[in-house]
Amino acid sequence: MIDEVRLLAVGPYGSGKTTFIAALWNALMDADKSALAVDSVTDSDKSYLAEIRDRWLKFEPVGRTDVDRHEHIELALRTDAGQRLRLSVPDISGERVERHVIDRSWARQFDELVSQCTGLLFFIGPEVKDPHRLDDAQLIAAEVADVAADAASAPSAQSVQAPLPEWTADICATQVMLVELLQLMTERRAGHPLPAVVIISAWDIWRDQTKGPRNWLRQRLPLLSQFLDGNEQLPCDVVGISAQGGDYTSEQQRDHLKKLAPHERPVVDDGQAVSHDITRPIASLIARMARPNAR
Amino acid sequence: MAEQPCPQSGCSAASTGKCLEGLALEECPHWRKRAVPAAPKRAKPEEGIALRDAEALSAAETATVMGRWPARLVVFVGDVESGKTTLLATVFELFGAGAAREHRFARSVTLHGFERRCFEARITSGREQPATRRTDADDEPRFLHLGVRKTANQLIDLLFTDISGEHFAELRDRPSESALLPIVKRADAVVVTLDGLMLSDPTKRHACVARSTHLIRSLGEVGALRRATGVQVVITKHDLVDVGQANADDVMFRFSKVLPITNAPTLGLHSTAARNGRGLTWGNGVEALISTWTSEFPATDQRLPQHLQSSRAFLRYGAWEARPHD
Repeated sequence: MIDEVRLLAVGPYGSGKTTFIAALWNALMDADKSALAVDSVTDSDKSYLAEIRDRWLKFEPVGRTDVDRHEHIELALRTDAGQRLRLSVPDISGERVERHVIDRSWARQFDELVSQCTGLLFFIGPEVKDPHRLDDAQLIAAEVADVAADAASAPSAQSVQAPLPEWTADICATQVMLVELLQLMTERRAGHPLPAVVIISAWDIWRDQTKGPRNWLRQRLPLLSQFLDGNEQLPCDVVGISAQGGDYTSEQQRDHLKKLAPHERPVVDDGQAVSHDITRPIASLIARMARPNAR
Repeated sequence: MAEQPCPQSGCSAASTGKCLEGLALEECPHWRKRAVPAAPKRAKPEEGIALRDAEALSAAETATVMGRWPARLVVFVGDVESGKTTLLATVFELFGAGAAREHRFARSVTLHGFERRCFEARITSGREQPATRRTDADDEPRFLHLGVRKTANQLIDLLFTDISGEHFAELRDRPSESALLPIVKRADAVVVTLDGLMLSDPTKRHACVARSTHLIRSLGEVGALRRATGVQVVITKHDLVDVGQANADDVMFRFSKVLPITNAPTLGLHSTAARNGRGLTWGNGVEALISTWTSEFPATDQRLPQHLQSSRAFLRYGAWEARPHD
């Protein structure tokens, strides 16, 4: 058994960390339904966690917190088997995470967490900036003859536009930003492998449209998928998670969720099986750490 | 714990639990729009850690890559606007689109350098037609890094040059005085880009080929090409024009004439399409080129016989064949 497992939860803005933490806290408070128990948490964290759990229980969105506030959650937990673990969520909003890649710096505190953590929960949200190519777009337009004809007859958008934008790092494709973030994290660890679980959030959106989370990653973020595939520095599992369980704005889905016990609402899909156990990614990460060479 | 107040004017649901409009709280659209609770505050970090940048490397900065990994150096040479940077961007785009079949992206310390070079061919650039920004003649030579895995999980690091075409006149005419000479001397592959549009124009074809063969001859004469250096001729813009077999044969014939002067043991011919066109998909021919860089070096594409027998003899391997994302 490892002395203390130190997990770091990281993900960009809108990647579902807060909703995950809300559902996780609900599971932890519902001791009968959780394989994890809380050892300690500060009062201020407890108050915040109670509030986001409350919103989660009431089918209210909990994510996207105010970026101007410094946000850091730290939970000391214990597994059934007595394994102690510390879960750090240094930047709940995720806004700072993107700035690390753009501004090429991060806080010393974050650097220490990166250096000292033994496992990574890496969150990816449903909103992806694709590197769409102009010629592919033209090909699609040409296939739709009417659209192409309209485009040809319409006044040129470029002719009335301001000068064309210059490239800046903040318009990087999402997959490039994510790969760069992971590269920077592994570089700061001086070559020490960082076992990870990649969590694709809002999985209810994709679950019926794709054959498992790894396949989704391959299709939507191919550069990241290739980067993770065979990467000895980042041995990882990929799971799809809907911490909400569904789309709150859909009356039909809300009605369905209302019929479920709260701990049954999350959907966790590892490509092999689907469960409702929100603690499962943490359990699988701990299991992976116990067999660091296994892929 | 205090509830966040309801944003609906006059509603005291936070304290009374009753909606002003008589709805169940979870059904009320105003109640659901309450401010998201703030996470607990911590002290602001007092100090930041500077991270390496992700732009293209200077010659001096390549030591950071070469010192860590035994990278292979691929030097692109060719006329202005012959497609050097576009080819480089397409190599990266192939991985970004998941279109490479036999290679996988593994790492890069110059991701922003690649993104910058891909930008003007993307929708986000606001352009109507895909383009590539010309490499500025005032820029010093830049290098882009790409680590790729082959099927057996072998990881190979490649360093590509991005040098403005203006600089190659000096390298051709006065190679010993050119600052580029040490870079070429270190090259594992020298990729000569020929503009397919030029090759298709009878008034420009011969001068275009002559400039490039002259360059290779000059490099050979000053001993810049090692025994292990592969020389690869890439006819670009295949999406715009098919230069035809006879033209391709002629190009290879003329390069083969200068090759004995050099030490370089291999010569390869490739054609690439960086955009969609003429029924070809962008990236056509590019992975075949990547394969030569990730194979056993020197490049194992078409090996020339000591004495040239027929220019067709080394085109028989099919590099000229157009296949999607080949």
